[in-house]
Amino acid sequence: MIKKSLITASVLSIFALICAALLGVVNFFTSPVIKAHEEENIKKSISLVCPLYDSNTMDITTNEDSKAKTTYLVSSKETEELLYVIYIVDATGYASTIEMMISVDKDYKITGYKVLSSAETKGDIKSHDFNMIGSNNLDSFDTLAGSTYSSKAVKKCFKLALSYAKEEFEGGQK
Amino acid sequence: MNMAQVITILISTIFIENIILSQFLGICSFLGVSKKRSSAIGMSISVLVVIILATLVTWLLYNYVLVVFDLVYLKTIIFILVIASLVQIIEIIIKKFAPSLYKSLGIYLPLITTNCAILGIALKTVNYGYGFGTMLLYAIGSGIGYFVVMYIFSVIREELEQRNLPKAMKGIPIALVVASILAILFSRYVGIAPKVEDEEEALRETYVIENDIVEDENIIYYDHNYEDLNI
Amino acid sequence: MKDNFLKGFFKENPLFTMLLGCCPALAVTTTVENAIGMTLAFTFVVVLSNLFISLININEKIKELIQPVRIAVYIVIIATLVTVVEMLMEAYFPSLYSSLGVFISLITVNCIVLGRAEAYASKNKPLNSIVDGLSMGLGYGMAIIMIAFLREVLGAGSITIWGSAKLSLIPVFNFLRIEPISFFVSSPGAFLVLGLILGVIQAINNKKVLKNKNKRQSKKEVK
Repeated sequence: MIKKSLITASVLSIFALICAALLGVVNFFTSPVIKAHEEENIKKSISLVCPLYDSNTMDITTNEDSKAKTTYLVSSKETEELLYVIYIVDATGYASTIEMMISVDKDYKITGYKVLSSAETKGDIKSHDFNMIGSNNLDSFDTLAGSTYSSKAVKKCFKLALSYAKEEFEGGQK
Repeated sequence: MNMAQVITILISTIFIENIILSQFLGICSFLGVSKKRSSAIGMSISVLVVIILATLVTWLLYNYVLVVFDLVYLKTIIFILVIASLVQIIEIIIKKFAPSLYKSLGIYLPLITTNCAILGIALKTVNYGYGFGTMLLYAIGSGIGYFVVMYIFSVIREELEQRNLPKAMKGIPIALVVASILAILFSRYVGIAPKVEDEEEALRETYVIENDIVEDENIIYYDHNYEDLNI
Repeated sequence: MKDNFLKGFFKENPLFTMLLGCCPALAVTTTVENAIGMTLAFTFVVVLSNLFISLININEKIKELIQPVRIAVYIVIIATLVTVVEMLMEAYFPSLYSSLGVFISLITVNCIVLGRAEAYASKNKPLNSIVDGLSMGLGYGMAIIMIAFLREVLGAGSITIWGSAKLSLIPVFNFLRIEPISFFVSSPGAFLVLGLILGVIQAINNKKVLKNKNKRQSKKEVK
């Protein structure tokens, strides 16, 4: 009885191991492609939120210590001066977590933003102009009519990014 | 996590983002076992128990084993094996310690392994990167949401059986139309979650940038797509 | 062979006659493109799982060994294939992957795949099993593409076939002076469309049954 169940258990585990090995092989081939896609997407988004970004004269590094989910520091290749900080922030909440990429320049002004993901089915939130480019004043924030809740989440994203950026640039000056 | 957050998560999972009517998980069992009230209740209770346990176990496995060893790509295969063995274990335990319960729930348990609600919720919680508390509430809310919809639906279907309907619509077709109406009703529950922010406070709020901004708000945002319904 | 292939489309259509695999049929049918993507992924999984499972069952010794845990073995094989599809899709069709979301992984628990493995592939030869898998996959695909077509045309006024190959029907709608009804793209609309399609099919079946009855009766009268 015990022997029999041991045999079946080992048969099942052998099958599972074969399958896992197979998956490992496939993963080995696909994961670089997936990673490349992700990087390409991030580069695309960066050049969108930060129109003056030029890969020839500027370097992108990530800041692991930052409070934000992901932080990219764009600095000049020559002078190593920090030019832009780009944050991926999200407004925490439940049913729809809005994730945004926001770029702030060294004058502490927002140069661009992009809504990366939102559970909202309407496309409006992704294309709406929140009237924040070139500014750091949240009073000029333009709420999207009809989607008050999502607008509040977006506003919070800006608020977070600006607060992080302040820390970042002030820390750099010290 | 404060009380408002807890209530909001529960209400959104039970009503607005209902597991059956809005996320389309577990439709097979929703149509298959809802003919009778008693079987609907039996199935829903089994799902409620298994969904909470399975999500808990898979979440722990994912975050403390798979992520650590960089084996994230094995999640589907591991999750389904965990769920299948969990169902087996629950079946054995119930059989031993509560034979009367086993009599009423026993037949639904084997069906649960292939119920996509369980695997779906387990995968969603790790895909969205929920924390422990959110994950638990999400699972509980989904289970209760399943129960609520199954119960209402089975009552309506029992009633429909006795009505004189066009022959073509009898059975599943009319049941799906009823489900459609239920889905409209459930997506309209948007307003009942606790108010996100005091309007007056929002007006007074001056957006001074502060460093401790992250802690100062316990605001919960959620979206709704009820404007999409042209009804 | 031909019957074996055609059965999945009409006589034994998994969605319309057996009501299997409803979850993705409702969830991913917002655009035709999603439905096509789902069809490809699903057909791949069902064909290969049928093939492997019938190969395993050809050998009597292995068949006997796995007999007590055969469902678990089948699930492991199916889950592996699903993960392979998932990884390939994420690598080569990222936008499709993100719009299908969790429903690619959920092919694992789709009753059709496991049902065909247990009912057909474990008892038949590999070649027949492949044909059976193709028939089921494409038959299911036909059904969900049909639902997606209705939902997208009525709800969004367009037909998206693949990527930017999109056909807008807005001029037609304008000509008829009506607007697309976005209700059909929302979740309640999915239930309604499937319910009405099943109603139509039931009506056709009822008529057929009635006709056969009449024929039999008239034959009896002649006799």
